[in-house]
Amino acid sequence: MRFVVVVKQVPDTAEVRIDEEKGTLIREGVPSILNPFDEYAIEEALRWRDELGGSVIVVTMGPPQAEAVLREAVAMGADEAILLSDRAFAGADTLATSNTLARAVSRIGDVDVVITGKQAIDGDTAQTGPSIAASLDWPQVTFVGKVRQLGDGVMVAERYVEDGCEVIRASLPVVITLLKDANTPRLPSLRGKMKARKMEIPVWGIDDLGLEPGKVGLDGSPTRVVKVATPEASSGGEIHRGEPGELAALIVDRLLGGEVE
Amino acid sequence: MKIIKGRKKILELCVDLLYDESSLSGAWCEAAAWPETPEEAAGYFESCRADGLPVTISGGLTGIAGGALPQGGAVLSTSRMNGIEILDNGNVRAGAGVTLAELREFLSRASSEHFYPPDPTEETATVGGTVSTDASGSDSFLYGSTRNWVESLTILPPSGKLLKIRRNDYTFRDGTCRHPDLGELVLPALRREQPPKNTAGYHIRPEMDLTDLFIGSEGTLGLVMEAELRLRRKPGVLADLVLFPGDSGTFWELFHTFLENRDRLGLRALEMMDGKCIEFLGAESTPGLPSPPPGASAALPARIEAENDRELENALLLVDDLMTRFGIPPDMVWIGLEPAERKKIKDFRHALPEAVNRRISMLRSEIPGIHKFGSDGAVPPVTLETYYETCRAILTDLDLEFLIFGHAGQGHLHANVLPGNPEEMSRAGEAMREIAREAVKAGGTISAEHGLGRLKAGFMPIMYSREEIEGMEKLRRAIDPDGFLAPALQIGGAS
Ligand SMILES: Cc1cc2nc3c(=O)[nH]c(=O)nc-3n(C[C@@H](O)[C@@H](O)[C@H](O)COP(=O)(O)OP(=O)(O)OC[C@H]3O[C@@H](n4cnc5c(N)ncnc54)[C@H](O)[C@@H]3O)c2cc1C
Ligand SMILES: Cc1cc2nc3c(=O)[nH]c(=O)nc-3n(C[C@H](O)[C@H](O)[C@H](O)COP(=O)(O)OP(=O)(O)OC[C@H]3O[C@@H](n4cnc5c(N)ncnc54)[C@H](O)[C@@H]3O)c2cc1C
Repeated sequence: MRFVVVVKQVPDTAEVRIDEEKGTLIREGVPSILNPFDEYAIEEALRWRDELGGSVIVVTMGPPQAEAVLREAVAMGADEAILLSDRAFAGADTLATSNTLARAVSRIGDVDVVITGKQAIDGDTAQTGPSIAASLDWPQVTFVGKVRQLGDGVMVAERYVEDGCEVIRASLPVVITLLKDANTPRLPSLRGKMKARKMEIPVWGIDDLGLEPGKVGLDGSPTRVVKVATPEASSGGEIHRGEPGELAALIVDRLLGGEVE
Repeated sequence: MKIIKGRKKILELCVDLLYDESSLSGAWCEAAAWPETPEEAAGYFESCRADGLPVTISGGLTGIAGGALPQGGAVLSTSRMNGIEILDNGNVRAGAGVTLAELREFLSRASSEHFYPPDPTEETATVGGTVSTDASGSDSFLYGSTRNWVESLTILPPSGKLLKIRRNDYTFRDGTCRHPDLGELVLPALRREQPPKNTAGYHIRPEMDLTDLFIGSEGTLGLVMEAELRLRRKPGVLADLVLFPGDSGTFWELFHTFLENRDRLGLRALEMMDGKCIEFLGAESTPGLPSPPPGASAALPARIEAENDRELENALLLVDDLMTRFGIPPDMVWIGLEPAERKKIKDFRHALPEAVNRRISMLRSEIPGIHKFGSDGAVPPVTLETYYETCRAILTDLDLEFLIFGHAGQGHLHANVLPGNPEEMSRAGEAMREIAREAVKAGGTISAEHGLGRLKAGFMPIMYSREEIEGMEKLRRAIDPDGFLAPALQIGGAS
């Protein structure tokens, strides 16, 4: 079985600070990491490959330094990695991003399952997976908390939704977006890490994918960002400093005094 | 200065002063204060003296030996002594109450190049507390204990007259040191040199620096108000590894090979979790953390530091060779290079003491008074295997539930016992004493990093002769003639 896992390099949002004046993120000096959800996507593919045989190919679209996340995936055990990188890809919205990723899946060929993380911790749209499926015209199953069964042309998966769990049977090939409930990602092995450090990672650009300029990057992006605003904090918090005992007494007083509900 | 007086008020407003990580109960006191300046602290000393209240110093309360828990008298908390600054000489000066987390945070802003090496795991420990217990931790394999990083100390001794002691200002000559304020201090002559990693009793070397007497003195000689600490340049790259050998024979061979190659590997830490730990972690898995791989008999966590990628590559190739030589399959060696991966390995290691503590709290809710027992002895690392087997035999013979882990590279193990009932508690106490005896027999110490506190002081006679202990008490009385500080901590144990 052949798996493609698409992964994204994101700024470590735990380290991101906000430019108070402009209301934008300060990305400078913020370390880049593998989108945490994508680790679970990689792990899921590795587990099924280990069980059924086949291969796991990781793909990311991004600037040259995004290959770092591919090396992390290889260290965990992915077989191959491909970087989609081209000046023409810059400024892509979710549509252009998923068009590009979908084309890479087609070019890889014979893919049975595409796995994405539930969402990226920076963009947060959770659109990329579904949009890849639409572009490939494959079935999609989102918010997968457990893949029950895979093989013989079908997948059975549990979709965790707000009011319960849906069990979905889909034909292959399929695109799934995965929740953290599905597994616990492994740590990289020493051998994997050494392989990853040495591996030559192929870079595919717009010509390799046979895409037209109008379909990728900024030109292929119908989204226009009109305004970026920081939402108003909904209620004024208070910060009290002191010894834990004192603070606890203060909270109890406020609760009993009915000031706080 | 904030002061709270009266036993009832203490219980009401700052009961947290009566608990630390030793899980000892029964602490109490008459008063507590939070001075910010030397003047306030000296004033508090004076008023306590007038009221006949001896003083126990309280830091981050992460201590495992219970030294910060008062048995009456007054408590002085350092939590408001939190000034911190980089000095022109590149050192950092920090108030006693600065926590290691705050220090790390401050340094990461002030200097991207340097860090403070001592890392005794628990980051809410304070500068004053770690200096006073001479704290270590896994990285002390390479960096040594806190002692190695202290350049000068500001100390308020029981006399109330502030002292600044800088390294090389005052040294002992042939066991004697004369200081204008402290008078003549005489170290007891020891039958044998203290082991390299040791927190049992005062630090004693006939030609040592005066600062070294205060470091590790557990609040018995003075209040550490402030410390000037040395920093170290950050290494280029770090790798965290966990090796999971399939049988204990391989584990020990691997351990010795790592020790022999410590320089070639650039080893910063070399740890151990035994088979029981692996079983325990497998059973009490923590969400989001990988479980130990099936078939693992024990774990050997190691940290490697290197100047650059090439150097790291060489170290990793050596580890790879060892894997081949010892037949360890690829998925039995984890590695973390990226911060997120390294954090997972750190979390994996910390999950163990946390899981133990969770289990103990559960037990305690059924059987009040139950607490964990942990040994803190160390032996010369080359004899660790024998010491480990002896610990196991002692605990197995006494039919106790236990697990053993620790800073193997320094010959230092924590044998943790989880007693299920009061009867097992008393057997556990017996086991701890027995293990302490074995450590000393092997040329080691009864306490390598946690200090004596109230838990280990009773073991002093195992390690020192009566004359040696009396010599330490005499030294203490020379600085604190009327037992004003740390009254509950008796160096020779309660007799
Ligand atoms: C999960 C966990 C893991 C740990 N791992 C390690 C480890 O790997 N290595 C290790 O060495 N330790 C370890 N420790 C123990 C370590 O955190 C403490 O021993 C620490 O050094 C004490 O610092 P503190 O500020 O909490 O001091 P406290 O617990 O408040 O006090 C400890 C002792 O120092 C005295 N003291 C405190 N502040 C001062 C001061 N300013 N002047 C004079 N005396 C003072 C107290 O009176 C007391 O005797 C661990 C603890 C925990 C909870
Ligand atoms: C007008 C516009 C211009 C933009 N310009 C840029 C730009 O110049 N540079 C830039 O980095 N972003 C840019 N973005 C943001 C970018 O379009 C989105 O980050 C991207 O489409 C993915 O959406 P998301 O972050 O919400 O991911 P989600 O849809 O939330 O991600 C879900 C999953 O999709 C997969 N995935 C997401 N992105 C990728 C990827 N790039 N490669 C492989 N797998 C992926 C991962 O598995 C991830 O877990 C722009 C957006 C807009 C609207």
